[in-house]
Amino acid sequence: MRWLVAALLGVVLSASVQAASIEARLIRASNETEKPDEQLTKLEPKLKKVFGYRHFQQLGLQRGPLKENGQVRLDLGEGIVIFVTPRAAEKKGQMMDFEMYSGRAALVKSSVRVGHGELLVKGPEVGNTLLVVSLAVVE
Amino acid sequence: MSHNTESVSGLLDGELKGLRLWLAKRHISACPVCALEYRHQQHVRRLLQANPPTATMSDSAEFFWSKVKSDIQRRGEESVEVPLPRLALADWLEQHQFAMATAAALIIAVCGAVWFMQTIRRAPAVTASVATPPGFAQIEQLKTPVPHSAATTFDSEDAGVTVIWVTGLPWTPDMNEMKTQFANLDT
Repeated sequence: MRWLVAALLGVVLSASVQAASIEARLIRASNETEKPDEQLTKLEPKLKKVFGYRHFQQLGLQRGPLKENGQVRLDLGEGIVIFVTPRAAEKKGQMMDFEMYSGRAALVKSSVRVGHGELLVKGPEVGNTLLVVSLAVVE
Repeated sequence: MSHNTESVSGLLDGELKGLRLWLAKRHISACPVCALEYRHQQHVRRLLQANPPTATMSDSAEFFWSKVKSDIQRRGEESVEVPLPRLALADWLEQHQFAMATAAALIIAVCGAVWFMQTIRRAPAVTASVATPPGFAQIEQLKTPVPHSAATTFDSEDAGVTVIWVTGLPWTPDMNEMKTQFANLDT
């Protein structure tokens, strides 16, 4: 009986201390006719409403654990790298410093509180396409 | 206060006390009709005091009181039922008018306080929902180090997401060119 209680307690504690993670995607928006990207099934309607393109393709996906004041580096491919430094977890969301780089160039530096929804960043235009980065805090 | 001969009588008889006495005096000093009634009744009372009735009794006073005393002793502890007068609602309300007024004032004050508290509690909730809709990110600082670029942020109500909209970044014809150009761009 004691072992069962200890095991249950361990499961509860491990679930409660499980840290949140940051999930970032590099997405290319275009008007070319391609098959819908199944990885973006949930996000595509939002992307269409915001950016207006017809097709969205996921070029990279990275996820990293959020530890207070510990910087997370996420290499999304195509030279796009983001750095996330969590500041404080609040009721309204996760406060963090966010930097987006392409090569050596810092495209965006921001302090942002991300809640349950996504944060979208409109990046550079390449040919007839547009690069978009999406950021979300996941449990 | 309406014209009330009972109040005038009560004032002259010394039956009124406290707030009722003060109200009656104030009304009589301001109301010519009641002032006239007051003077009239005062005059009647003075006449009655000046001319007391002369009672004529067949028995002497001492004998009369001895009869009363013996009658009381004869009855002993015999209980006498005295019928209580039944009050109509209007009479009851008139008797308890000050208590009713106080109760009404208390009810109004409590309702006002409840309404005020609810208004205070509701106000910040509305402000918060307008200022920070749930699900949207909050951007506290934003800068774009690339020369000639700018960034703005907005909440897309349709999509339910927050967007950082960067403009003025160099356009490149393909991915390789983008990598090369941004790799050499020192910010």
